[in-house]
Amino acid sequence: MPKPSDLLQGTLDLLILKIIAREPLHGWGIAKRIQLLSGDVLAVGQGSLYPALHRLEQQGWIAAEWKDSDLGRSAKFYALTREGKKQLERELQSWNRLSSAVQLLLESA
Amino acid sequence: MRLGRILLHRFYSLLRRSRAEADLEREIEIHLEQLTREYRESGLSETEARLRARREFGPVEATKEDCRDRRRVRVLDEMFRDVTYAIRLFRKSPIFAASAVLILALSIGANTALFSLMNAVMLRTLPVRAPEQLVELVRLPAGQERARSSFPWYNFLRQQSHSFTGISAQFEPSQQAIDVGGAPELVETQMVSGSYYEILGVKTVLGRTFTPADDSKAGTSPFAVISYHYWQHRFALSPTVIGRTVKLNGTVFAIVGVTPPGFSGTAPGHDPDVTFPLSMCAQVRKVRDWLTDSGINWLDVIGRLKPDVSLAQAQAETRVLFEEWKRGQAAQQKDPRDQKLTLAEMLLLEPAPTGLNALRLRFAQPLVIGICMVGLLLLLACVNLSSLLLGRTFSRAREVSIRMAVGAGRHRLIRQFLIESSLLTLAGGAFGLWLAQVLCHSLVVLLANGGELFLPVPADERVLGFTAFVSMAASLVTGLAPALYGTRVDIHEGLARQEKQMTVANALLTVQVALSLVLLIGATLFVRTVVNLKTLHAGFDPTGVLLFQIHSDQQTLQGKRRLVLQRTIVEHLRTIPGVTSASEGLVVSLSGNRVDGDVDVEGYEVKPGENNRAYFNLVGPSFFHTVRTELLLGREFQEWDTPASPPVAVVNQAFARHYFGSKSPIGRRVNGATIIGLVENAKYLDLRQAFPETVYFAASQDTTPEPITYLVRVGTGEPQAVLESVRRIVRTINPQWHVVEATSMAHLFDASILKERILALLSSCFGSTPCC
Repeated sequence: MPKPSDLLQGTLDLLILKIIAREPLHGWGIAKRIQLLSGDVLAVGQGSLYPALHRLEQQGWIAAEWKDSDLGRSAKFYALTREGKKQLERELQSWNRLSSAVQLLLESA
Repeated sequence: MRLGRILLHRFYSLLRRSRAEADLEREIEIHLEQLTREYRESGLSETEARLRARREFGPVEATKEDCRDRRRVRVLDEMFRDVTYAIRLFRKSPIFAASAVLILALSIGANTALFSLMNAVMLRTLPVRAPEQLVELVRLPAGQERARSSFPWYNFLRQQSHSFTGISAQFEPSQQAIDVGGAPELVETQMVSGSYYEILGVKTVLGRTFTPADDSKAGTSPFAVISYHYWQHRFALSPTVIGRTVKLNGTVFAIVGVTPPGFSGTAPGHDPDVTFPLSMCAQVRKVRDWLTDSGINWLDVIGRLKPDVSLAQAQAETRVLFEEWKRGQAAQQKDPRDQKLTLAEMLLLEPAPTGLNALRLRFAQPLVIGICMVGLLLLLACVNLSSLLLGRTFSRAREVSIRMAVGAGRHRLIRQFLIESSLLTLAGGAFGLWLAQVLCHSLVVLLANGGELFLPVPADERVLGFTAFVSMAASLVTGLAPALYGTRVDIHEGLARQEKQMTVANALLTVQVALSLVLLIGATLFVRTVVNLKTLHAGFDPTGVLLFQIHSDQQTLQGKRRLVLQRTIVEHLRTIPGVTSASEGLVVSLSGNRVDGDVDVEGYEVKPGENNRAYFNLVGPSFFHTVRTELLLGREFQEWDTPASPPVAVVNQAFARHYFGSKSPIGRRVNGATIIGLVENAKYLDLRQAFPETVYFAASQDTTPEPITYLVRVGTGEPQAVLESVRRIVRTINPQWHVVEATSMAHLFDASILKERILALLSSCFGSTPCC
């Protein structure tokens, strides 16, 4: 199994926002989902997920709530706030810009 | 709302740090558990699984610390940047900033000034030992306000009560002319019991205080204690002051002690210069029987509770004592009506950590209403400023969009707006604190109403705290609306936003108009009250009448010789240029003095339960002419009404209607005097009271020595203008006589409606400000 690539600086936020945009999720679920969706290419260093979540919460983009979970006990669920949705839009746009710029650069170089 | 959530979240993580910490702990624990479970299910042993999970997760403690770091805001750094930015902004529009600060300074200053006064009058405790143990004992006669106590009752209480470590009595401070070598000078004097200083725990800085020994025998303690303030400005702090003498009313008193600086007695608003023992009251006040007559109530009584006795216990004990005292008093009274009145009296114990409560009660209402008004004024100023700031946000929309586009969060921008408004209020508050000092001084002068009012108004921590709190509240009220709506920039919703801002602006405008209306209506009402009281026909004309009394260095003259001198004085007064008439009287309307008693009208049967009390006065010839009380029937007193001629009286309309109906009172007899005149009704004690039934007797027929007040009416101008001539005339008659207690009737009139006048003045100042 190839070593999963390190996450590009700043893209973790985008991934988290995108994932919980569908439904509120707990930290474990988010980590699993990233792993699953990226086909194990992107593995989040499990520990680094939490500081990111806390920062996003501090920014007011996501909100947390303790709820009963599928894990057999209550867990801290993160959900997107209205501001978070806007932020997601912005991050998506800038990601698109960046990726197409890089693509262009790679093709024309 | 995002701001709400951010605030909540921050609050949560700040104040409930332990809770947030526990959450973090649990969250990570759950994650580790799940990892462990997964490894276990893939076939690893429990220990192995846990180890792998740990390895996969990474350093737990470092992660936790990282999370904590994310929660910590770089508040200080950002705050500093916001403040510099705000200052730069204000420097770009200095006129806006200056006027905003000025508005805030004025209204915060007004609030601070009124609060300082309230603090000085109502909250500041006496600079004595354990002031919270001090209790004032007030008599409450039936149907009357708080009353003073007699010396015999004070003595009885002092000997019988066990609730107090001691009880002291004092006589209200007032102005008196004393002689310290050289010309007579006016100082504030008071009389206190020998226990006074000991009970308060006040020591002298020089010499001794009074002791209970100074109370032992009437007239044998010719001693005086002076205040530090008086020692400083009259004796230049000379240590040889002990043993020097002061002369008052012909009696020489030796100065025995000086009280410490900062101590100004227990009567708020007063700062007595010279204090005498109560036992010397006959010499100090030229009075008789004050130490023996239980019907003369002249003392304010303060006790110090024993440490283990509660106010309720002391109340219970003194009530029993008071009942016993009242029964003893009633037993000596003949008239059953008097007995009933005596027995209906109550005794009230009030905490007195701030001194005697009389002044506090007098000023409490105007101060409280005043502080409500300036509070409204401040609110109005904030709303005003808020809409100004909101107006500015329209023009700042571009700046806000740019900042947002480069990544500033909205909460960051809101903070920026709030910091701007806090800077304004902070400057306003600091400036206001300074303004308050000036305002306070004017307010004290206003409250003093031309007299002496000693009211130190220190800017202590309570005042500073109040100003800080008010400024903070003001900055929130001012900044919140502009902050919330000024940062809601959305290009797509541009139009909608404009509408929304207009709604806010409209709401602010509505609040402004409503507040201004409230203030204006309040002001109108208070002014109206004063106008009503001023234009009300009081039954006399207070303008242009000078009032004074005469004190003699020699012993008071008695009997007929006094009446002769009285006549001579009035005759001389009439010769002063500008004086149109002069007379004398025992009680001047609205002076606060009163004489009342039962009347006995010849040929009139008093029905059971009927009120046959009336106010009395002793007045000289031409009295009614001098105060301009209209004579309706018969004649005034004349010079030929002497002790040798038959006693005569004049009654007012209210009295005549009660006892004679529509018939003429002339020729009828009341309390042994023949009624020779009927005058119109006149107010006596209080302008707001109905016209009382009043009987006037001839001062020229009564030989009992009472402090007679002389009245001088001038044709035009201020009555004070003839005061010097009056002084000269009085000195030429007898060089040992001094004119004292000089005032004007108009002044008494104004003083009697002081409360209403203060309210009207304050409210019209503050009520009209928003209209400017």
